[in-house]
Amino acid sequence: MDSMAYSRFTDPAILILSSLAEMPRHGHALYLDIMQFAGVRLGPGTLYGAISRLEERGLIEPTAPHGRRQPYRLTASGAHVLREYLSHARTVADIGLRRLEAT
Amino acid sequence: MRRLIGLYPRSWRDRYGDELTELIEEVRTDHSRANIAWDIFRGAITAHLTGRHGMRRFWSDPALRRGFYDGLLIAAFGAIIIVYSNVLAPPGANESDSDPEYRIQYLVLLAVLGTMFVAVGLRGRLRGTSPGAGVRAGVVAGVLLAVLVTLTFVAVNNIFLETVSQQHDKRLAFAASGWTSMRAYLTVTQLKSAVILVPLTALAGATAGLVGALLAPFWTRLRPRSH
Repeated sequence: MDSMAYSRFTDPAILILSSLAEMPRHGHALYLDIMQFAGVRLGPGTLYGAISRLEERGLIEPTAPHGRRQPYRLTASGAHVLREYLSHARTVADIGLRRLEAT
Repeated sequence: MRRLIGLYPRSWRDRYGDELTELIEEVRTDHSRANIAWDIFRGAITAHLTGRHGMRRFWSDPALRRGFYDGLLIAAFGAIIIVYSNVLAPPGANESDSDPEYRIQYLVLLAVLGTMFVAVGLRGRLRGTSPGAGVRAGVVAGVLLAVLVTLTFVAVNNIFLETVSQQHDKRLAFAASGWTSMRAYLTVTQLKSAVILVPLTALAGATAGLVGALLAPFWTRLRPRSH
């Protein structure tokens, strides 16, 4: 079994929200940041598919364009969803790790 | 890659197409061309199936929804006629579809279907804001009818092959076809005919839908108002 497949967060939506939690970013900046902090190289179609869904759900929004680049930022609702998700993930991770240590 | 981006829904392309094109240029050295192509293709399919740019847009248009449900009703009516005329009361072994008796029945059936499609257009128009709503409803109902009628024929021909294969016209056509399997011949012929039937019924649906849409104002005036 490829352990690497389970060792990283690969959900594009969570990766994008996590990247935007720091500052507004455009597509390429998101791509580079996600590659750096998560070690995941998202495909352009995957990245923009997730951006369009997140924008549609009001979790991110476009900001003023920088030339031809369109930055996005996290909305209040997006920050709430990300916080909920990561808290839940941390709870599950803590329990899982504790149980592993006990065996 | 531009051709692949063309696979996305138009409204999606209008909104994100330029940004996606730019990102592809920027990351092309990180991925193989095949990987990017596959990623874009998958993204386009997903965009069609989900979100406000895809199928949800279809369901959010009341006229298209009307056309879909009315198309289902008309297709159910068509399925009953197909089962009745091919299985329950099949034509005699020497009777042909071109016999005058059957021609009249076909004309009556066409008139009934035409009236139904005008009603679809009228109902679609009443749920929309322009005559285009009636046309859209008619097209959806027409395409759905063609697809479901084709599937009904394929099912009936396969399930009741023994009865269907006795029909005069089918026996003659099969003998002249050079095929060795009646089942395969009927199935392939039916599916091939859908290639013509689908655009034809879409066009007929659009025309009848437009007629229905143009009749909508008169219908609204004639309809008794409830208090």
